[in-house]
Amino acid sequence: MTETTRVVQINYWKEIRKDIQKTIGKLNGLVLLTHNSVEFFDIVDFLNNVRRDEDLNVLYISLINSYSQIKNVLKEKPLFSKKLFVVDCVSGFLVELQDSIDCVYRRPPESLEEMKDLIVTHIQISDSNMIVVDSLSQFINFSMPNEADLNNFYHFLNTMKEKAISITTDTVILLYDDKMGSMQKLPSMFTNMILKLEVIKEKIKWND
Amino acid sequence: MTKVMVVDDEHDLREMIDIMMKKEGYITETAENGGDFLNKIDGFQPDIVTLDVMMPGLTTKEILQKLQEKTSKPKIILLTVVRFSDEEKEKILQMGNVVDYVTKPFDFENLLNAIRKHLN
Repeated sequence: MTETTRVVQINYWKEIRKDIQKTIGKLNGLVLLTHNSVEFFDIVDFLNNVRRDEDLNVLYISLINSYSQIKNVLKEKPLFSKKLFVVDCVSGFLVELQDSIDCVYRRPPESLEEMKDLIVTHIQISDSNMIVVDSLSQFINFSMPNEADLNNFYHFLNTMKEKAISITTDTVILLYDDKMGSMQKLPSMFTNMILKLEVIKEKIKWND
Repeated sequence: MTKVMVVDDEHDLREMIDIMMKKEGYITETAENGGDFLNKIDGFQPDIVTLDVMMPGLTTKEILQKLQEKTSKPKIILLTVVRFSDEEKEKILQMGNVVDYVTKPFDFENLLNAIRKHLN
């Protein structure tokens, strides 16, 4: 890569990041992660960038990170003004655990319909302004979705807008990570924003 | 001959692991969930099992408990997308017949290395 190309690329990304910061800086709503490869550190980055310095309650539905792992990450990288309520759908597979004030242990949903029920139930318990679902990868392969999976996904989004998100706002953000392959079909219906993970990370790859 | 059983609800992954194992010269059997696995284990009697942690139906904990009531023979390698803390990882390795776990998505060579290691 030549130095000129590199400068153009950096400037491009800086502009994109400015726009993204403006947009996500004001977010509420439902954030759906499409792949299971996103590190929890990056989710913390994202949440810290959303409505900075505002106190927000975030409902985090985890099919990937155990609550114990989440707590370890948060010790190293705190969520400044956000309060997290975790629905841990993974630890219960291995050990019996007691619910606490900021975490409940549940069986993982086996369908998007069950995921919707899980969200609706816990959105009220946690009084959330924002919901993060990590991730939808076991319900739909976003790299190569078939028509039936996409229709099922749209039905889920539509129902979510009716049943749950009206509690907060009607924003749906799809957050994807192309480490797992590119998105062949962008599921844009009922989705307000589709963001690539790279653009919301706090750390940038260049120095000013 | 070494027998390997592949237990995963994801059809494509299950088939891929099965093909890899056959290429390595192992005798294989597959199961699509915990119940299917427990039904087939007496007939197949595997030496080692790759077991997906998150499948519909029985939980991993339930599968391991029921397995121990039947046999203590097969070694279990868990396959999981879950990111556990170090303390949890230690606990996992003390469960039943579990000898190792491999985090998804994985390189097949890593899975094969884990299998070879525990068969030796």
